[in-house]
Amino acid sequence: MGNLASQPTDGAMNVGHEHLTHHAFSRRQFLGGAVRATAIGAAAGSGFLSAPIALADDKTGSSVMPRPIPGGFLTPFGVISHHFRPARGIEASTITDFNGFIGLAEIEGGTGIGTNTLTGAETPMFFGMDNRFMIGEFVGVDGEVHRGAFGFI
Amino acid sequence: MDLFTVNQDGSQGPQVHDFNPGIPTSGPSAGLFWTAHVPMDSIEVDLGRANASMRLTNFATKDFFTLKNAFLNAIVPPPAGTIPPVDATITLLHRWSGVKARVNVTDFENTGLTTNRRFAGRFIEDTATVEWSATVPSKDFHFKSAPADPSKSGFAEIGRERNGVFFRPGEES
Repeated sequence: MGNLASQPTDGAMNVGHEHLTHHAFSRRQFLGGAVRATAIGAAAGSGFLSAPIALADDKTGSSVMPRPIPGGFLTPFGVISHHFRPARGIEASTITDFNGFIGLAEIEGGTGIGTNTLTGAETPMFFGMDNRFMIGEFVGVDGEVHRGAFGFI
Repeated sequence: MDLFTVNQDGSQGPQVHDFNPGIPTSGPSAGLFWTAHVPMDSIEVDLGRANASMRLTNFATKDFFTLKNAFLNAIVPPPAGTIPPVDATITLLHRWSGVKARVNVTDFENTGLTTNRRFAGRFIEDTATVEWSATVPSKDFHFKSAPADPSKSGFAEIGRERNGVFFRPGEES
């Protein structure tokens, strides 16, 4: 088991400028086990992560399915959950053999209105979510490298 | 994406909707957890400016009603009492912005199911917001969230990650 490096907003680490758009490039609990991560230096060894991913010519992405990450945890319902609950240092991707960009959004205590579309009756509701995206290159179930985008929704 | 009723005292009530694409129970992608293809142009990322967005419109998904029922549907055969999911659509806009911390992670270990393994990433921890709606035609149900509210952001991050065959331990040193 290792540890984790982090830097505050005013830290000196340079992530570099990576820009992905569709023009240029275009959940939850039951976590088992602790985060096991080992720090890498602020500058050393991180070049691969600032290297560009060539997505420029692929606006639709592959439809080939990916495979799940091997990690995860066993839920109380007997089903293996191949993802990690939102926290610093987790593997955010839910797909394995992946190289790309991720986003993770945990929203807590959200509110909204539910509507019965037949009667028009409205009901206040709470919501929560852990949504993610993954966009980049991945090895599909066919063993080939593809480019694609995924939502953990 | 979980929807709950509101109790009379204003507290959160029981879950009544659980939107996710499901978990394949067979084939080489079996176990893929609530993950589905989305259009490439639904996602924009600019790590230099520390922002990103994901926009989905009428995204086809399922309503499993509760988290427990969602997991039970991933068991073959589903246990008695498991309720099959129904079709639903989701429209959402997520935005990520700000920089709370910058985190580098690499994980060399390969010690079992409950650990991360063979991945590295550079992450910007930030604030996320969402505005979204859902429709469940067979239940005559529609939900619309309140406007995006940064105060509802829990853990959020954007970044760059590589894992599996793209993870090369030698590059960390």
